[in-house]
Formats: sequence, structure tokens, C-alpha cells
Amino acid sequence: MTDALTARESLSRFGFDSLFSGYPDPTFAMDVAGTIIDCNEALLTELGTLSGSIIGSPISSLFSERTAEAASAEFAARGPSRFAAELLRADGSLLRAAIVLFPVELDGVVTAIVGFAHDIEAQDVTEVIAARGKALERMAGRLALMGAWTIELSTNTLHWSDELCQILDFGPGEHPTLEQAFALHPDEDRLAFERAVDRAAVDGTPFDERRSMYTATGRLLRIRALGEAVRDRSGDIVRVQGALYDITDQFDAIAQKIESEERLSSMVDAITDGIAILDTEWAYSYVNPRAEEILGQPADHLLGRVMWDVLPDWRGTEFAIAFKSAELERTTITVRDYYEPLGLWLDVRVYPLSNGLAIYFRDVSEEELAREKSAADEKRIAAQAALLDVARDAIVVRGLDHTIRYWNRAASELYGWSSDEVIGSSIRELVYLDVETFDAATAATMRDGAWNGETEQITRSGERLIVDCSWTLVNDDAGNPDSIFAVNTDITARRSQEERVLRAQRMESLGTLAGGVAHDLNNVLTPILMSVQMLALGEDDPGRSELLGVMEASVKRGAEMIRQVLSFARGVEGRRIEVDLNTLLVELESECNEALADNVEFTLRADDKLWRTNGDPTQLLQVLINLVYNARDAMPDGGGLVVAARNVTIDQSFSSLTHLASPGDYILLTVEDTGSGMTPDIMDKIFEPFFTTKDLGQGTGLGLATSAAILRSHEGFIQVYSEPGKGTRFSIHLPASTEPDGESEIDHSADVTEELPRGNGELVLIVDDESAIRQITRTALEAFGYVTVVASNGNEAIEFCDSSPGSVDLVVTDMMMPLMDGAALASRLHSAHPSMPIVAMSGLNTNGGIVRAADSGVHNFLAKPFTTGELLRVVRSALDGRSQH
Amino acid sequence: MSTRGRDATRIMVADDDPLIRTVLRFALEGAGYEVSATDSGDGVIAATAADAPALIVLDARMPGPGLSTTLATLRLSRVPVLVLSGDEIVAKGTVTPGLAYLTKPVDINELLSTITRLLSGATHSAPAHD
Repeated sequence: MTDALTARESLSRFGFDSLFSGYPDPTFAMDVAGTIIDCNEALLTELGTLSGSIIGSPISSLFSERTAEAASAEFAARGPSRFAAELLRADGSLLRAAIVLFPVELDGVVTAIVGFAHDIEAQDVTEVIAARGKALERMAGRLALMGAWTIELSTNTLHWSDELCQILDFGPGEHPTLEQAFALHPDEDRLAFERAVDRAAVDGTPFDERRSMYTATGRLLRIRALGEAVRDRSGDIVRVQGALYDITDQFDAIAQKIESEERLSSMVDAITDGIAILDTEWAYSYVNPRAEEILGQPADHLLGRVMWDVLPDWRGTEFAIAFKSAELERTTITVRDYYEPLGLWLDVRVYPLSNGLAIYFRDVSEEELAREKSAADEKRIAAQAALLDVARDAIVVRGLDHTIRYWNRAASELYGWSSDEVIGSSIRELVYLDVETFDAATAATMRDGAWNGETEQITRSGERLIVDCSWTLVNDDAGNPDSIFAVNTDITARRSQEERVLRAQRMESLGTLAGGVAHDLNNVLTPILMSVQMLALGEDDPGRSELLGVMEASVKRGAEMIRQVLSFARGVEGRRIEVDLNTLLVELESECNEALADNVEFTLRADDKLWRTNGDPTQLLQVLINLVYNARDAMPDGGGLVVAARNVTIDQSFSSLTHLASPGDYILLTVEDTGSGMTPDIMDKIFEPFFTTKDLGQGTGLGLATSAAILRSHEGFIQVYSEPGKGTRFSIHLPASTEPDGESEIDHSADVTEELPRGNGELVLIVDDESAIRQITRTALEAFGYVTVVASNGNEAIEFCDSSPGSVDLVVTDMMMPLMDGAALASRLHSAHPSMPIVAMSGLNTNGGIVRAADSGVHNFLAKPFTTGELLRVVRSALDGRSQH
Repeated sequence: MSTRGRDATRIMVADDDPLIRTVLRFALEGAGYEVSATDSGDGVIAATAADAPALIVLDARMPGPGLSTTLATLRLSRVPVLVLSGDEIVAKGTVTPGLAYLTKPVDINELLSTITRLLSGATHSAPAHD
């Protein structure tokens, strides 16, 4: 057997290797020849090298050149020694260390030397050595605590060495009998030990049992008993002999070392943790009480038994893998997993020992459950937060002290503060205008667990909001109120929308009611009117006649009001043609000139490039005239009246601000006076039917209501701004009918200026049953040099033409008229006045309509809606065509 | 109807409102017409079938058959009809040859002139106006 093998075996047999492998200081072992056979991790770490470069090298290689010789000399002495030396690191640097060499003896012969090094660079050598002295003494004692035993099978007698007697507190030479010796083991251990000895005696099976054993004085020791059979020349087993040593301290030391290391490294209360040590066969050689508890088995059941046998369920677990890896790779491995058989989450650290494994158990079930819960909570919260962030409602979680804990994205958008800005500040001070309501609502939430209601709040920009609040009290896990979860819905817009809907509904029902009443009222007025008129017929007395006249006028005014109510109740249906509001404004101006007193200064601000709208020009003019009259009435002492028109584009923000308009292009008409103005509460009501500020009998209270209804039917809207004593401005938005682009604007401006063909005093007969069309057409033609006459039906037209033959230069006629339609009229006119050109206007833009118009002698066609330019061009070309004929 | 004078033109007033019937009777009799009256659509149809008047002044809204049904039936008798309605739109819808409408409250002068026009237009023996 080589020195190295002998050394290894002796270290192993003493269990010494396991001691130093877990030792915190650099430790190494040598055979008797001075060759390093093993070292611990601490040494490798300290020197910055690998075990391969150390094991197999002479001891002198560990030291600096300067101290190697002295170290070799100490080693050669083969006795316990302590000295200072310099360890040589792989990088060439030196480590001043206190070295302790300790011989290991087997059967009285030194078979190995164990060396310990301790870094003394920061400390005095002697101090360190003194501190280590105790440990050395303990080791020396341990080395002494080994004895030999022999059982002679022929006589069944036991022999103990003196050392063994000393270990077991027997006096030198006081040999117990074999039975007495077995009796020193606790029951279970004794049986196991007896079996081991019996087997060795019967078939020569060697054993290595780690058991408990009482000494003569009653101390319980952990012992390790090695045994083997000894055969005679004939091969018969004659005795069983072996060694026994006290390993109590060894396990205590390891256990303490692991515990202290854990305490230091993890700050976890290691005392409550389990420690077990497995030998090379993976039999339990040590378990602490906590390990017993965790493993669910008393130490008696565990010690000496192979792990797999005691707890077969460990097989195939992460833990088993960790044990194997730790043993194979000689590294500390930590694994945390759920151990099904015990129903526990275990944190297991496995420290490789040279003769087994040290296992550190920690029951982390609670920690794991908490972690799982918190992970689940976090996941839930994250999911909720994601949901909350996409929620359109502002969601705010606040503590009971009102400090904001959570603030979702919608809250940021609604209130104007980001989450970072408000977390931790008080919601009460931040957004609540009326803290009394807030406090009352909070109290209700605390009392009832929830509260719903409306509050008035304010945004960062100072905008006031009406907010529908839904608050819920949230308890913590212990059931104590912890926070208030608030879902705040901005209903400011909805509220005004609701108000508008309510107002519209009110107006509608008022209209319906009024319609019904009006109908019956006419029946009431009929007998009065007729009676009055009949009485008046036979009345000679001038005074009585005058009174009857007053009655008649009053009845007729009542009838007029009823007519208006009915038309309001019925709603406003009108035509939809392209309207050039400039034309309308020209008409308005002439109307205003008649209606306005001299002390009212009227200003018209039109825009050449004004877009057009689709609508009923008569109705729109009615709206404008109504506004002008209202303005006039608001300025009894005179003032200024400005009517203006311009193009505007309503963007999304304005649209959402007013809730009236969809985004797009509009023509904005404003009618502004410098009159008496209105207070806000009056402004609120002016669009309601039958609301009037005028004296009884002076207004129906339907003008603005009808105007608003007309504009709604045009997909436009009307707004009012007023200041008492300063004046009032009505703004009308009408949607632009065509997509305004640069070209059309240029065309339009060209329309208005000289590029359009003008007339030269020609007489044009305009035939249309719609007065509005007649008016528009007339206005346009007259503005461009024509003279016009009008007729509202075919008969009138024919009559005019027949009455003054040759005077009419051209006829513009609508094709769709009652009684005699345009085609019939054209046909009649063409036969009577073949040289007179006829221009047909029709909204029916189909080929059929054109063909029929052509058949009736019409060669010029004007599709409604037409622009002024189109009208002028068609009229001009028709006239020129005639002159060319 | 028994006491119709040879020169008197008989007009039937159909209105469910007794006050209106009364005032119309006064107005028409004052203008020299003979007046009969009824208060429902059924009544005017039955009375016309039995003894057709020269003209019917018909309220647009009465109990019994609706206005259009009444008018369709009366059209068979070729008696001119003057519809009186509190609602111009309703009245407008009735316009066909031989029909006229007036909106309540009715001006007596309009009433009489319209009746005159209708009677002249509907009287086939009379020369037609241009």
C-alpha cells in the first residue's frame, strides 16, 4: 500500500477528512512522504488555484521559497506543531499564515499529517495560535478517542484496548463482557450492532456502523464502529475485530459549523433549521432535532440507515439530484422544491464532505406560500392594473388618510396629473371643491362599505367636472379597513347631453301638446271670428265697429300664433338645395334696411370665398331675420348690429367641447348686437318653446325654438353668448356642403367678380312654384345685369308671355310644378314663341328628365342645386344661342 | 228638407262643433243660402245620398269615417266640397278638382267668396269662368 493510500484510508477511517473539508480555514492533508493528498475549498480559494495543481505536490510547494524549508522541517518532525509561514498564491503573492500541523496515527503509527492555515496578516501570530489552541486540543483529544476491540468467537469474549476503555469511561483493563458491551447501546442500535457483528462472524461481511452508545458513566456518545472478520489459515472465521471511535464532537463540530455559517450568510434563524449528515453510503450519521422534525422521523430511526431506505420518496426528487451533484461535483448545491410526502417546501443545501454529505434543511413552506400568494397577488394586481389602465373611468385608490395610492391612466387624462405627481398626496385637497360632500361621502363609505353619488371636482386646468363616483371600502387581509377604491366617471358631458335630450323631449312634448290644443283652439276661434265679422257687417255705430275691429284683429293674431305652434309642433321639413349664404345675406340686408330703425347701425361682413351649405334658403333666411328682429328688439335705444359670415373648420377638440357638432367644415354666421344682453338663466331657456322675454302679446316664444329646430334639421347648430348690458351674439354653424378646396374657392371668387357672363338688360321670366327659388334666381340675375319677371305657375307664365309678346327674352322654368309641369309649359311656350330660349331647372338630374325637357323644346338644362355661376353661364349661352340663330 | 225656396241654393254644413254649425248657419243664411246641418261623416254621407245639397262645408275632423273616406264617397255625388280645417297641412292634402279648403278660424269674406267660386265652377249649366 502506498503512503498516499494509507494516509487516505487513515483519514477516512477517522472521519477526519469530513472535518476539514467543511473547515473554514485552509486545510490540507499529506501522506508521510510529505505529498499533499487532499485539501479543502478554503485553501484553494485562498491560493487561487485548483485542487489538481496542489494534490500530488510536495508540501514545500505550498510555501514561499523563504519559508518552505522551515515548513518542511516542521513536517519532518511528524508531531503536532505550530509555526508561521508564507503560503504562495497562484498569482505569486504571499499570504502570511499561522500553520498548524497535526499527525494522524493509526495503530500507533503516523499515517498522515493534517495541516491548517490561518490568515494572520491582520493579526498577531501568537494571538491566533492561542485562539486556535482550543481547537487543537479538541482535535488531539479526538485523535486519542479511538480504540480497538476484538471478539474471540471461540470463547465469545470481548477485548478492548486501553484507549477504548478510556473512551467509554472504563478503567484501563476493565473489560465488560460481550453482552455488557452490547447493552451499552440503546435498544435499536444494539440490535443493529449485534446483527452486524453476527454477520461478520458468520459470513465475514465487514461493517461500518454509526450508532449511539452509553459510556460506563452514562454519557451518550455517537460512535463509529468498524468491524471485520479474521480468518485462520483454513479460512474459518475465528474472530471479529475492529475499531471504535467517538464521533460525537465531530458531528457537533460540523453541525455547529454549518449552523454558524448559515447564520452568518443568510441571517436566517438557523437554529430552527434542520441539519443532517450522510456518510459515503448516504446513511444518516447525524440529524439535529429540527431535521428529525422536518424528516418526520426520530433520530433513532434515521441514524445509520441509508437515506433511501428511511425515506424512499426522496428518490427522483430535485433533492436527490442535488445530493448526487454535490457529491459528484464537490460543490455546495442549494435546491428549493416542494416535497410531496411531507407536504413541505424545503430549502436544502448540500455540502459535500469527503466522506458524505452535510445537509441543511429549511422548511420554507410559509415563505413559499407567502411568495406564491404574493406572486399571485402581483399577477392579479398587474392584471387588474392593466385592466384599470384601459378603463375609461378614472380609478383612484386612496388610503384612509386620503393619500392617493393608485391612479390609473384615465385618472391622469381626466384630472391632468400623472400618477407620479399625485401618488402620496391627498385626493381630498387635490380635486374636491366641496370637501364637506367629500367628507360625508367618505364617512358613508366607511360606514356602509360603499358609496355612490355625484361630486363636483376640479381638474388641474381648473375645469369643473360633474363626476359620478362609485366608492368601495377595501379591507386588508385581516379584515380591517385599508383603503377606498373609487371609480369616478366624468358625466359632465353626459349631464349636458342629458339636459339637451331632456330639453328636446320637453320641447317635443310641449309641441305635441301645443299642436293638439292649437287644433281645438281654432275651433274655438272660428265662431268668434265669424260672429264678430257678421256683427260688424250690420253695425253703423263707429265706436262699436271699432271695438269689433279690435276683436277681429285679436282673433286673427291668436290664429297666427296657433299656426306657428302647429308648424313648430310638426317640425321643420324643408328642401335641400345648395345655398350660397352670401345671396341670403344680401336678401337679409334689404330686409334689415326696412325693418331697422335709423339709430341701429347695420354692418354686413360677408366673405367672398364662403363655402356653401345644403339647406332650405327660405328657412335659413327666416332664422336670420328672426335673429335680426330679436337684436332690434334688444336695442330699443339703438346700437350696432353686425351680421358676419365666414368659413370655419371644427376640429375634434372643439367638437367634443360643444358636443353639438361633428368635426368638419362649417360656415359660421354670427348675429351680434350691442343690446341689453341676457343673464345666464335666461340664456339657458331662450331656445325653449314659448319662452319669451317680450311683453305679453309681442312674441310667441317660438322664434328661437323654431330657429334651433330648423338649424338642427340642417345638421347645424346655434349657440348664444351674452353679457347683460353689453350685448348678445348668436352663432350659427351650418355644415359646408362641398369639400372646400382651393379650386372651388377660386371659382367662387371668380363667380362674384367680373369673369361671369353678364346680362345686358334682357328680360328673364322666372317660373317656379317655390318663392325661395324665384328670389334666389332673381337676385342672381339682377345682380348681373338682367331684368326679371316672375311667375309661380305655368298659367301665369303663359299669360305673361301672351300679354306682352316679344318682351321676354328668356324663360327659366322649374320642371317640377303642380298643375302644369315644366315640360308642358315649355312645350306650350315653344309652340307660341319658338325663338324664345327656355332654360329648364330640375332637381331630377336623370337622363329621362333631360330627354323629356329636350322633347319639349328645351335645350338648356340647369340641374338643381346650381350655383350662381352655372345659372349665369347657362342663361348667357341660351341667349347667345338665340342670337346666333 | 221641406221648405226650400226655388231660388235658394242649399248648403250642407257638416261639423261636430255645434257653435261652428250655428255660426256657419248664420253666415250662410245671411248670404241667402239655405242651410242644412249634420255633425258626423256618416251623417253627411247619408244626407247627401238622400238629397244632395249644392255644396258641402265639411269639417276635416269629425267622428265617424275619416276625411279621405268621406271625401271619396262624396266625390261620387259630384257635389263641391269646402273643407274647413284647423290644420293647413291636413286641408292642403284634400285639394282635388271641385274641392277647396279654408283654414280655421275662417274669415267670413273668404268663406263666402270661396263658396261662390266653388258653386260657379261646379255648376255645369253655368258658363265657365276663364
